[in-house]
Amino acid sequence: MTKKILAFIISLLLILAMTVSTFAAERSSGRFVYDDANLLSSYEESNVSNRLEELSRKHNTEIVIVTVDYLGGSSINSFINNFYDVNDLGYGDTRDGVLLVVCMSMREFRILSNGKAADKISLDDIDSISDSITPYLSDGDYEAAFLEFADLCGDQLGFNVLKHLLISAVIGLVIGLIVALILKAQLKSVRRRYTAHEYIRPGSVNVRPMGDFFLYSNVSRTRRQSSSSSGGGGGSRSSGGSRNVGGGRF
Amino acid sequence: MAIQQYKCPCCDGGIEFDTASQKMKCPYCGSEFDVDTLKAYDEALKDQPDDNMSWDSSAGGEWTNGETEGLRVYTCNTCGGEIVGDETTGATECPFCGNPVVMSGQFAGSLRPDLVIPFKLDKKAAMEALKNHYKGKVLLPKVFKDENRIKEIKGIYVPFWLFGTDAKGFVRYRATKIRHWSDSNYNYTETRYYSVLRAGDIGFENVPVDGSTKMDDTLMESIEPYDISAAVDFRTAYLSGFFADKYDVTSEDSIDRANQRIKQSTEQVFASTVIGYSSVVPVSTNISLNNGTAKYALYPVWILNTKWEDKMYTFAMNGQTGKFVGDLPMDKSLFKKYLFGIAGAVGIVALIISYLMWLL
Repeated sequence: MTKKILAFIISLLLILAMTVSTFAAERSSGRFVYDDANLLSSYEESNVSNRLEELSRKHNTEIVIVTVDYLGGSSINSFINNFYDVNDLGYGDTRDGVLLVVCMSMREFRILSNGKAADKISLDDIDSISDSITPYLSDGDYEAAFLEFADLCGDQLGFNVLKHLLISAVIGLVIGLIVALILKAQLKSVRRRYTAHEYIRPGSVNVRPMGDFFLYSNVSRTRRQSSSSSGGGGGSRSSGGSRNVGGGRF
Repeated sequence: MAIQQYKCPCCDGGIEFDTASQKMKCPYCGSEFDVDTLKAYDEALKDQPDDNMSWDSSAGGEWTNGETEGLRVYTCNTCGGEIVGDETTGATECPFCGNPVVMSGQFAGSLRPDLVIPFKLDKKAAMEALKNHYKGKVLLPKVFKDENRIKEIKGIYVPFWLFGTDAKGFVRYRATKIRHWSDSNYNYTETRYYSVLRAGDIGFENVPVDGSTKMDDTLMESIEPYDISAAVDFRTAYLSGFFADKYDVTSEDSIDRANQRIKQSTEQVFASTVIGYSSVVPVSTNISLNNGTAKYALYPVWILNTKWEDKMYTFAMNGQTGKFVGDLPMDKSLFKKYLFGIAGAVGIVALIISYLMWLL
């Protein structure tokens, strides 16, 4: 009897799981490449699209690439933000996704990471991805640039085992060393006495101030970090919900 | 040199100082006597002048025998056996019959100690303290605890020089006051430097410095402080049953150590009157010492020497307060085990936590 109930519950959970994943796929239009600037041949486009789809599914993060010729007056920053919001990109409640916009007339590109993807791909990560794909874009090797972009996003979105392992090992060693040294110090009890405080005759202490003289003063200053960085190739954060935007020229 | 053996007035056995009752007790017939009762033995010493040590006069008495170094041989009054000591041995045990002997001549005349703090704690207490010292020491090699020859703990009266002085100090300090403020572009830090002078008097008494080259100075400092109020006038009878040495470091040679400590204390006590500053550092100190006195005292110490893996370990217990000190060896492999074991455990926990945080 209990076995039947267990089998029923398990199958119910499986159905639920499948609906969730299909649900996620249906939410987006299913397109990963919007090549309005026609930088890619149909073969290259399907190649890039497949890679993006594979990585999007694997990391549950919608990775989309948009290329345009003209932006019609708006700045590329506002374009990328609008595109992401208007098209409701990103999976889940936190709208996790990464968007790459390439504008040929301005020869500029922007990368946007949103939601949980913004935690995993920081401004520094966007800068380093930008540095990696800029040579490909400059050379006109767009398929290579986009595939490289996709792979780099995948690396950042995945659990970076090596980095975390290294940090955990360092923390472990530091704490281990502290504890071991404390235990070692337990063994030592022979110490010199540097003072004779216990031997001061009570009531014999009489200290007179003989003057506090001011000598000179010294003022130093450090520049404050400004919280906003200039636009153009810089990055910005939007208020409410994490989002990172960065990029550059090619 | 004459040796003295204290005989029980009742049964003529060798009588010893008993820590529990603070009197002379005969281990054979159990009779107890006040230390003063055995004053008669000290009558012989009275003929020679007592001198309190002061810094100006030098004793010179220790070379009256004409022998400057080497072994001294005594004959035990009880069994006739030969007792071998060196030039500082003041009290010991006959190695043949076990009776206590006191070389009272070592403490005659100008070498007579001014004070003695009698042993308050007996051998059993010392052995207990040693066992307690081992407790809770995680990295102590297990074998060390077992191999110790606990019974070889010896009660020794260690010679000390006690210095007292009225110090007049004049200390100059460099002090700073620090202020922080900011505006929209910069963080500012203003440091104002002051020269602060303090002068005053401070009195010290009974600052102890170990007067024996055989006892490690740092070890002796570690078992401080002694409660001087329990000190009594010296009677050789107190030494019976224990070991004792007379000093072989003169007061002149010991004064430097006392001066260092006095100077540090003065600087710190004066610095505590400098208030309202972010930092206070002494720059120059002038101290003059007046009315200096040096007293010669015997302080009680329980000592155990042990050898382990070719290294000498010495343990000492304050025979009055019971404070126990002594560096212990470390089990190297256990140290490594703890280091890497904890490192591994914490590392794994940190990895799991970082993975969970990444998932969220």
